[in-house]
Amino acid sequence: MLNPVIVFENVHYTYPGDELESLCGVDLAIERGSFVAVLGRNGSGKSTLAKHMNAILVPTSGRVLIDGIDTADEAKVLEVRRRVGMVFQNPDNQIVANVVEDDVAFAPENLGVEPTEIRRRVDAALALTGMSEYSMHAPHLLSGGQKQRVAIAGVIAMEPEILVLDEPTAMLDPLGRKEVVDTAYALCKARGMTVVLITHHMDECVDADRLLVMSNGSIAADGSPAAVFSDQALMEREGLGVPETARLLQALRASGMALPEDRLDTEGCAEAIAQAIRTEA
Amino acid sequence: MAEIKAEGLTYVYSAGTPFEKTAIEDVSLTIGQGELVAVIGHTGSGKSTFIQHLNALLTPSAGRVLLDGEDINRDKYSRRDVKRRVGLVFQYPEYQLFEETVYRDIAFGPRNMKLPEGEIDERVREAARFVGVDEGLFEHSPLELSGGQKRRIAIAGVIAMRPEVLILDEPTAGLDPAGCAQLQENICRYREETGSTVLLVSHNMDDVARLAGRVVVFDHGRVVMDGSPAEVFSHAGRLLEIGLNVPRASELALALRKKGVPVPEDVFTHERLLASLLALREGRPC
Repeated sequence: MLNPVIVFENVHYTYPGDELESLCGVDLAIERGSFVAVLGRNGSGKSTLAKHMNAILVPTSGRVLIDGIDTADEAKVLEVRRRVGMVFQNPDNQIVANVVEDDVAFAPENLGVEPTEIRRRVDAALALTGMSEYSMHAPHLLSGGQKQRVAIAGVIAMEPEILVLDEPTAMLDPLGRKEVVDTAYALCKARGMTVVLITHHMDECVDADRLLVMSNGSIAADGSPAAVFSDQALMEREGLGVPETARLLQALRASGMALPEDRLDTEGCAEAIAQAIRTEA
Repeated sequence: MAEIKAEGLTYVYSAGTPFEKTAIEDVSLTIGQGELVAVIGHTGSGKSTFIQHLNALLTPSAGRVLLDGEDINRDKYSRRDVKRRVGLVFQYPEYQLFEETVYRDIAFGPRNMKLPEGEIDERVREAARFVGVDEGLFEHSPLELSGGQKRRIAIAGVIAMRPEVLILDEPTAGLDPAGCAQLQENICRYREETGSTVLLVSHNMDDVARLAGRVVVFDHGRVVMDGSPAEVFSHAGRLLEIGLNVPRASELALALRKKGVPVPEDVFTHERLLASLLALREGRPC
């Protein structure tokens, strides 16, 4: 790897009072500017992994380095948190102010950023999340997807290098889910931000650079979405579904059609199948 | 028993104020005994307002709701009666658990019905069995269990009332895929074993396609489609237009048709799509 920004070295973690480990020796390096999706059933250790990325949890043994900083170094916790912004499942628990732009300004204000700089960051963060026209709205009157984008804007206003989203779409309707996931991908592709997305929705992982599957505190699979989804035995064993595109391509390949494995978006998949049928005819 | 009928149902929020908003308008619908009906529509389409009328949580601004031919809003007795016969499970019901033990939480409804202790016990065990909650958890605090288990206990609390109609608003939201599948299986089994009518509000069209016998689509407070999954999902383009998803297989079939692959319009499952494509390839009709 050329430039890893998040590094896990043999990380073990046991929650206080638990007998079983929640992370059992995780080794992981995440490339700067990449989009990494993480799947896994409830209790597989996905959220525990995420919480190690900004020092909410620190390893029982092993270490986590963010931009080279050891998260266990208490003197440097703030530096870690400035680099890694986190967004959680329930937008209602993450919004603190009565006006959208005040909410977005909350973190930079706490960091003691200059007022003119705060103004610049808030405007930029709202623009990046497509929420500029709502800057003076009351957050509680927004839709779930809009609230979650405000929460992301609040995190971006800290200008982190890394954005970690822990099931940000679990409580949203399909439209809200799309808004949030599109925003996360745009931040990575257009802004070069490193994004880690924890999710239960297979279709949100299709465009990721890399897909991890967590199982019993370990990484059970690690590769491109196409490669991971084509391992149907693994997906079944982990209680995860496979996107319809991957399932269909695989079934058609099994019956002898010449098709690629990696056209997982709807358009690309349809194009590949249409082409294969034309070629055969 | 337990046929639900909505006649010209209209509901206006904050009537007579500047915030007046018609949530549903002139909705007429009959749901027969034992049907499994999916109610779909984007956020704000009126589907939640509609289901809240079915057990008299909301009183219609105009129109009526009939349960087996009787107006459920006839008097206070009928309104109380309908709350027992029509069980409503809200979104994220696990936030409504409050008792000290799992057993007491599930027993809350039957106890309010002033049933004898023996029958309460029987119902609690039966409801727990339906949702797959082990009796070993009965003396635990519901608050110390996982999200999925809490959800099951909350649903058991409604099932323990033995409702003839069970309405669930997004019962699997936020659960992992294995948890979703298990809960859906539990709900289907409840319906099969008791003959109850089940209404399911869902955003997940793959679930709807797999489970429901009938799909009712809300848009702007009105029912705009009502039919079998095959009928409703054959209008994939229209559903996408009104901001809804369609099953993944329908979405792919739509994209394939646009690229000149003649997949039939009523294909909405993986199996049918695969069979159609294989047939096309061999030049057979699909």
